[in-house]
Amino acid sequence: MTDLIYETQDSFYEYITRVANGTEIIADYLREDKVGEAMQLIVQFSEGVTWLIQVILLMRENYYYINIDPSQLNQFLIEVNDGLERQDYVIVADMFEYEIKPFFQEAINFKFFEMKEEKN
Amino acid sequence: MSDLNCLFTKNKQLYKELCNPIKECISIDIHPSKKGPLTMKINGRYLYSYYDPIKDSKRFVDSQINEDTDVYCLFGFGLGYHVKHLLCNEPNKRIIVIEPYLSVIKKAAENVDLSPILSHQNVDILCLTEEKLPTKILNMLSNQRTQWIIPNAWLKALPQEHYLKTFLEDIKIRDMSINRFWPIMERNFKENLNHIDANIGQLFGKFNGQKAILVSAGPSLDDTVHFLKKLKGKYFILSVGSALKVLKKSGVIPDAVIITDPQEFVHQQLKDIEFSGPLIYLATACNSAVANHKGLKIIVFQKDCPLVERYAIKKKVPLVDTGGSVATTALDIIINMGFSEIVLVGQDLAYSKEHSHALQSTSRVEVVSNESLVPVLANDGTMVKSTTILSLYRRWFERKISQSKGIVFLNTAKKGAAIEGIPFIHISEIVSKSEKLRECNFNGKINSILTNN
Repeated sequence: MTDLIYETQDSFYEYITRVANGTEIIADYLREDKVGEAMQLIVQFSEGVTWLIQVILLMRENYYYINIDPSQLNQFLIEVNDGLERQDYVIVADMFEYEIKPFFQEAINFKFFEMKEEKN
Repeated sequence: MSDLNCLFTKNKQLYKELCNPIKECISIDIHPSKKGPLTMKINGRYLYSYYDPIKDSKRFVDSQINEDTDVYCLFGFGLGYHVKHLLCNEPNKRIIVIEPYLSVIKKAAENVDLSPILSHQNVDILCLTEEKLPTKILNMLSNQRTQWIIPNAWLKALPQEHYLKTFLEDIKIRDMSINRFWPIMERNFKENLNHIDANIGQLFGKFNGQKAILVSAGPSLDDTVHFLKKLKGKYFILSVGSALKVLKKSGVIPDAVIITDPQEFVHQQLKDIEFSGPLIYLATACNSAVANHKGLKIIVFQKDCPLVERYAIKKKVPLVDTGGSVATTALDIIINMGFSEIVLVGQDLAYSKEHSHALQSTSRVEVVSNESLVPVLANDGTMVKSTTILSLYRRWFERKISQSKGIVFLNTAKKGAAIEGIPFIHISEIVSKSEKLRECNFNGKINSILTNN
């Protein structure tokens, strides 16, 4: 079980780094009006962030915590979706470049920690 | 802030209009961005980034530079950032800026120093406030290598009812599609040249007086497909690739199939169908679909694709209007083949039954959200949901039909979007009328035409 937890955490860290890079590519595509290309990546982003949220919540059940707020991640998804529905790609590009990217760049530095006293 | 006097000698008309009171229905909001320089909102939408409009404009303009172009035609003046970056990148080329609102230029001039742009000898600003397209200018642009630059954000900010909206959307969607798939299209083109049995021009004008059916894969095909068997041999049946599976399921073998999309999924449309009749394929269509086809392969060279155009002109073969979709391309082809009556089957141009395509179609998707769908009038008088791109194809059909005199067009999609110039007819009526028609072996005829050519 512990191995599985550590493997999942490693995948989590790896994915966070990829998301940080991906957000920049999405913003670039949107700035260049390459909406189709951006949408493909946004779908992957959305699936990836949903997975990150699930991992954070499952880790909590196993008493592992990380300084990343899953509700903030969820909020990003809601706002991106809202911008896409309005086809307001300037706003969506701004979100990816100036809000989501810095969030993930900071998140790269965070690691899961175990709250042992609660486990008992 | 700008000295509009520099416009006086260069563009007196615009100068005068800017000096007079302006009455326009538009909301303009100019305010500092997070980084400092001004940003602009039109009709509630940001034209530039709220954080860093200068960086945003530069990145967009850099992506639009085309060394092969003679003239840039930029839509939207805004705060002049795009023109300014364009001038930095291409100082020796002519730049025509189309701005639909005088108030935008006036407000921009009040806030930003536009003098270097307004007085630049290579920049012409056209404020198109009159409700008609400037035919003279458009003709001039079509005679030169023109690069249109239409920022998506500006297009979205233009109200739906604005007379320039559909015109600009047509150009933008075409350009976005070509830009997106160009690397695959180019590779397909080079490979497809190795598979030419004939070119479509050899069939042009050879079917005068005969009738054709164009089968698309819209939801209404489920209701009409079983009638098609009775029309085989009476009508030339041309099917788009995505409808082939539906036809096969109903035991209908079309006289030819057409594919235009460059992507690999097209190969799946033809795979395992065992269709060995003529395949009409766009020069840039999916190569693996073309290469694996067992029957006759007929190439189509399309307009608005410089590499393909150059090749076709050199080989003296005709070019076809694609209109952006397989069905629009097919329509141009069957018009040129000379048919006197063209019946559209499965051409819904709308999500008629909460689905995009017929039941067995390889392209079927369920409509899960109403967002960004636009209501359009259907052939039965009800309203159905359509999309911007399907509406664009509908307008293309309408334009093409209005230019094609002497041909009867009919549409069998009851719940499909009404296409101006194409009345609805129940397919059973087509079947009744077809009883008097003489049978024709269309495959035999095509082979005979190509052999004698």
